[in-house]
Order: sequence, then C-alpha cells, then structure tokens
Amino acid sequence: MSHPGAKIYIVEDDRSFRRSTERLLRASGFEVESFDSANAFLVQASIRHPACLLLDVRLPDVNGIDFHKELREKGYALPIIFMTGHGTITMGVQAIKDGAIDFLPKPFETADLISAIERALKRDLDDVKERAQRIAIMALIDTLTSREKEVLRWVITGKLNKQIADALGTTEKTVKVHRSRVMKKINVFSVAELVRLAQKVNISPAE
Amino acid sequence: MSWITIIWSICAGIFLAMAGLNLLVWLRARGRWANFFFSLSAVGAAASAVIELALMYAQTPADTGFWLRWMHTSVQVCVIALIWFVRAYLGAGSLWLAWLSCGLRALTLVINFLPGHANVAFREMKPPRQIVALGESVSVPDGIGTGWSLLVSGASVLFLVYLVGAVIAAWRQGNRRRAGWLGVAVSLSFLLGMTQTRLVTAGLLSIPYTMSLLFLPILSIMGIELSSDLLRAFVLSRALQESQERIKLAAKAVDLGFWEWDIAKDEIWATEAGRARVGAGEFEPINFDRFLRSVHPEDREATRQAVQRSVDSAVDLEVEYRMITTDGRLRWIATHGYVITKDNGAPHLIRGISFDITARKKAEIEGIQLRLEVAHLGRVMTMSELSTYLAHEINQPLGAILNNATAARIQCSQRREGGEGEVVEIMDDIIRDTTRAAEIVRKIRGIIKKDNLAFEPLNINVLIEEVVELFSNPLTRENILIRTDLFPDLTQVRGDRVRLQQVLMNLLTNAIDAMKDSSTRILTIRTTMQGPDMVVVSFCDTGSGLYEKAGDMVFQSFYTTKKEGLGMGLRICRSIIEEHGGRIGAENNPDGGATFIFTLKADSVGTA
Repeated sequence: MSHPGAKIYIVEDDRSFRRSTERLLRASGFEVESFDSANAFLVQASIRHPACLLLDVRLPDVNGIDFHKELREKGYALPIIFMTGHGTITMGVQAIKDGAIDFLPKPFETADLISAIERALKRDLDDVKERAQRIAIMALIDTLTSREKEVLRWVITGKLNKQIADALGTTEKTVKVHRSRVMKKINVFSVAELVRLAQKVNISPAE
Repeated sequence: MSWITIIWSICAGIFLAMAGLNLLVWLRARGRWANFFFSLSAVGAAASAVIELALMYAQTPADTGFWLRWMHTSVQVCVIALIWFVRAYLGAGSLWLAWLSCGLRALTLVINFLPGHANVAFREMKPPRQIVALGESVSVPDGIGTGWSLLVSGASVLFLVYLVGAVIAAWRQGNRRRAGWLGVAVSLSFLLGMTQTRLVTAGLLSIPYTMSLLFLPILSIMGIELSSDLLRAFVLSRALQESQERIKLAAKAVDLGFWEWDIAKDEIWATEAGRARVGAGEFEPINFDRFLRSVHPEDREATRQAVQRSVDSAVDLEVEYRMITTDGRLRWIATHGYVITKDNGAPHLIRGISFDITARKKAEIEGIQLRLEVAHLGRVMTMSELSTYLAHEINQPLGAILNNATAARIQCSQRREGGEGEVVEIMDDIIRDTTRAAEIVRKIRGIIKKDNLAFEPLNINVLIEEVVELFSNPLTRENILIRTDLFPDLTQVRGDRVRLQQVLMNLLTNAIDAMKDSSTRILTIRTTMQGPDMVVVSFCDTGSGLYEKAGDMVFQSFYTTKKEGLGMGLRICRSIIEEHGGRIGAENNPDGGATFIFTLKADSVGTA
C-alpha cells in the first residue's frame, strides 16, 4: 500500500531509537520528520495531512499522555501512536481511551508499527475528507439569506409548508418559494439529503 | 414512790445506759480503750447508786455493814477504771502513779473483806441514824471507825495527784479542751465525795451518801464527747457520700471499674462499669470463674496465671486482656490490683481498678500494621522501580536494533542504488546499541553488588535479640511463643549488619506466616558453633512446613506459596548468606513445621 504525500512525525528523545525508527519508516516508503522533545515538535513542525504522530511516553520535558491531551486542547487533529519502553496496562488503557490509535511496547514488530500507521493514516484521511466536506457545506450555507436559513431549520424538522408558514407567521406560498431557493442554492434534491448535510455542520432543527 | 428512789434509780439507769453505749463503741473499735474503761467505771457507778439506795433503807447494823462493804467495792472498781480511763482518754499520766494508786485501792479492798471488820471504814456497826431527806426518813450508817479509813483517804489523795499530773501533761501537749473539762469535773466530784464521806462517817453531817450522784459530771463529759463524735461521724458520712459520688462520676467519665475479690469466699464485688463488662446483672453474684468466662478465650490462661501469681506471691496484679462484650464487640481491658494480706501474711483480698484501653490498643496495632505495610511497600517499590529501570534501559536499544535490522533488511531486498552506504551506517548503529545494552546490564550488576556492603565484626546473638525485640508486637499479637537458645560464647562473624538483619527478619516473617493456621505456635531460634570457625543459626517453627520435595526450590526466584508474595525473600536471603561465605538450607521437622539453617564464617582474629 502506498501513501502518497503521507507524513509521519516522530517525537522520541532517545537518539538511537529515533534514528532507527526514522530509517525503518523511510525504507518502508514514508516521509518522516522527527523531533527530540515535545516542545521541539510544537515549535518546528509544519503539519501536512495525511499524517500521524509516533509519540514516546517518557519524554524529557513532558509525559506523553499529558502531551496528547495538550495537543487535543490546542486543536491538533493528528492521530497518535504511543511507544514505550516500560508500559503498564493502565497507561495503555488510558491512552486508548483518550483516542490514541495504538500503544506499542518497545521493542515492537515492524508489521505492528506499519499496521498501526496505516490505521492512523486512514483515520486522518477520513478526518481530512470530513473536514473538507464540512467546509464546503458551510460555504454553501453562507450563501443563504437569514430568512432562508430560518426556513432551512424548519424544513429539516420534517414539517409541512403550511405548518412552517403558521410558525413563521407568513403564507404557505412564501415558504414554498424560500424552500425551493434553499434546495437550489445548497444543491440538493431531497429533504433527506438536506437533513444529512445539516447534521454534518451541526445545524439543529427549529423548535 | 419516793423522790429518793426515783432519783437514784434514774441515775443508775443513766450510768448503765452510758456503760452499754461505750462498751458497744469499744466492741466495734477495740483500740478505743477509753470507752472500755469508761464503761467499766460507769458500771461501778451504777452499782454504787443501787447500793446507796439499799443503804438508805437498811434498818439493822448488820444490813448497813453488809451494804457498806459492797459500796466500797463498787466505788473502788469505779475509781480504778477511772484511773485507766484518764490515761486512755488524755493520752497522758504517770504510769507508776497509776499502778501505785491501783495497788493502794486493791489493798483497801482486801482490808474491806478482812474478818473482824464490818468494812474498811468501820470496825463495828451501830444501828443506823435516821435522818429526813427530801421529805422522808432514811438511814445513815453509824459505827466505830477504823484507822484504815486514812488509807482510803491516802489513796484518794494519790489519785488526785495522779489526775492533776495527767491533766497538766495533756494540757501541755495541747489537748486543752479535754484536759480542762476532765480535770475540773473529776477533781470537783472527787473532792466533794471525799469531804462528804468524811463528814457523814464522822457523824458531822446528816445527809445520805451521794457518791454515785457525784459521778454525773464525769458522765456529762463523756456524754459531750460522744455527741461530738456523733456529730463528726454525721459530717464525715456526708463528706464520704459526696466524695463517693465524685469518684463515681469520675470513674464513669473515664469508664473506670472498681472491684474487689474476696479470695477465700471467692466473691467479686464490682462497680457498675465492672459488672457491665463481665455482663453480670445488678444482683447477679460474680466469682472468679464467672469473670474468667468473660475474658477472651485466648487471653484466659494468661489472665488466670497473672492472678495466680499475685495471690501466690502477694505482688501487685497488672494484666491486659481482651473481652467480648454482650453486643459482640472486642474490648481491650487493663487491670491493676493490689493484694491485701491478713495479719499472718496470707492474701485476703485483691482490690483494684480496670479500664478500657481499646482505643490505645487499636492505635498501637494500627501503628504496627502501618509500619509493616510501609516496610513491605518499600520492598515492592524498590523491586518495581528496579524492573522499570531495567525495562526502559534495555528495551530502548533492543527496539532500536530491531528497527535498524528491519530497515537494513528492506534496503537489501530493494537493492537500491547507493543503499550500501546506508546499510553500513545501520550496522554501526546496531553494534553501538548492542554494546549499550551490554553496558547497562553490567552497570546494574555493579549497583546491586556495591549496594551498602559494609563488613564489620558482629555478634549474631545481639542481632537476633534486636530483631526479636523489633518483632515483639506482631509476635505477641499472633500468640507466638519465642524461644531463644543462644550459644553464650559465640565467635563474632564478619558481615554487613543491615543485610544480615534482613535475613533474620525475612526468616522471622516467614515463620510467623507459616504458623498462621497452627494451634501450637512456637519459634525456636538457636545459635551454635560448628567447629572453631563456623557459626550456625537455626529457625525452627511449628508451622505448616515446606511442600514435599520443595527442597532447594524455596531459595529460587519467584518461588512462593503466599498470595501476595513475590518469591524473592528467600532468594535474597540466599544471596546475602552466600555473599558472607555461608550456606542456607531448609528442611521439614519430623514432628511438623520447618527449620531454616544458615551458617556464617566466624571472624578469625588473624584476618580481622
């Protein structure tokens, strides 16, 4: 399986281990960028997707589990694979609960590493696609007037035009016009499709 | 009835009543001789009163002679008793004057009964004179006097001298109230009595004898004394009651129980708190067996022995035991008592207090448990820290080697242009990581070897005593009897104190654990010499013993039969003993339990 443009970030303080992992991943066809501390990663890394982060649990400046939390809070959307020389079960469970892809005890089989990376990249690709989609939808919704946005929130409740007109204090005919304009602008052909898109960008039905 | 009969009878009655009262006081408190002599004196006075009455109605010389003789007798008894009463009452008075006075009075009594005399005062009686007193005619004895009456007067003067001496002595001693009243009363009645008798006998005064009536002032002194005693007793009893209430309150506040065990009768009296502890009702009799039944079965024998020891050798009782209360809670009780012996030295009763020390005991036991837990935690912590360190330090280069080898393999299989250079680089890294891993292993071995090894000459007996002392609480709690049979002339060994202590503690802990389910729990620690240069230490327990054929396996790493054991204890013991040039072994005893034996090389003076 090829990974065009995929990038693997490594944060590992042990120079020898960092170099060997870098080498192994390059030989396996990945583009790799590595750092010797969490801080170096935060300062120097330019994130390019799809990507994933190989993170050592014991770092000189911070505990890997805490760093994972910090990254999420800072809005980094980067799947993480932990590596550790002395992992405990509780630590592993906590990492997975926090959304890590895997928790690999050193030394690990290359196959396990590659499989974890592939899963991570797939997750990242999905995330990227989803984000792109959301941006596109948001752009479409931005073209709507505020009245049309209101009608949209009513339409996705599944109510009839007559009911919507009553709720908005207007005529059924006006609602019908707004509705067809919304469908046209957002480029959908059914109410079901409209509901699905609205859900993706977190637009909730009117009440 | 005539006035005379009434007055003299009443007097006799009062004297007898006072005699009885004082006799009663003396019977209750045998040390109060003043009361006894006063009682005797009052009996004499009562008899005198009756005889005086008889004398007043006597009509013939024979009658007056007879009554007069007895009159003298009763008066002498009264005065002799008075002599000793004064001594006892004032706590003063010349002893030889008292005896001399008594002797003289005894002599008059002898003369009184000599034939040829009517009595000591008259040689021969005449018919009594008749006089009128209180409106009726009464007899007054008359006769020919003797020279002996001078002896009577002499005895009376002697008594007065004695009395004045005693009063002055008492006054000087500060006993002024008693001395003053008694001195005035006795001397006044005596002088009056003497003068009156002389005058009546000489026929110069025509009144009846009123000797007995003169006793009344002395009586009133004793009356006042008695009533003030009574008042004091009343005040004291109130104070006593109050103090008892206060003690009761205090006892209740600290949950203190007072008790008393009458050994011969086997009856135990106890206050409310004590009774409640035994679980006995308010009126249920308690004896020693009943008490013992309330003691925790495991503490019963020890408690019984402690009490037995107190009874046998009359030493203070001090014992702590557990009790299960009626609502099923376990309480720790401490009891202190002292033995009260009879005059012949035989123990009569034990009186004491008991109080609840559960809170203190609980804190003590928790403290021990905490200490043991901390010690255990410490051991586990170091073990786990060591393993974490090892894992991290070794896994890092191993992981790198694996990654590098895999990378090289990929390079080779792809046979990329210019790949050889990188493969060489990889190989260099692999070599370096391998060396690094080996270095780490060497370093750790070095750490373990060097760790605090300080050899010094040691007496293993002292070390054993220290460790046993350290474990005294858990040993007591687990009911383990520890016997130490330590060879007195043990040669010193050269060793590391801390490490050898660790071995002893480990063997001790194992023995305690092994005897958890045994009914007999005896641990024997023995030291001996084997030849001139080998010290042998053995731990022999009565526990569950080793698994059959376990043999030397118990000394290997991770062999354990304990739920929470790491299987490292005996392994560590073996390394330590071997570091000291000794050997350790274990075997089952023929009659149950196991024995652990280790040897240590004695410290030969030449190489020390």
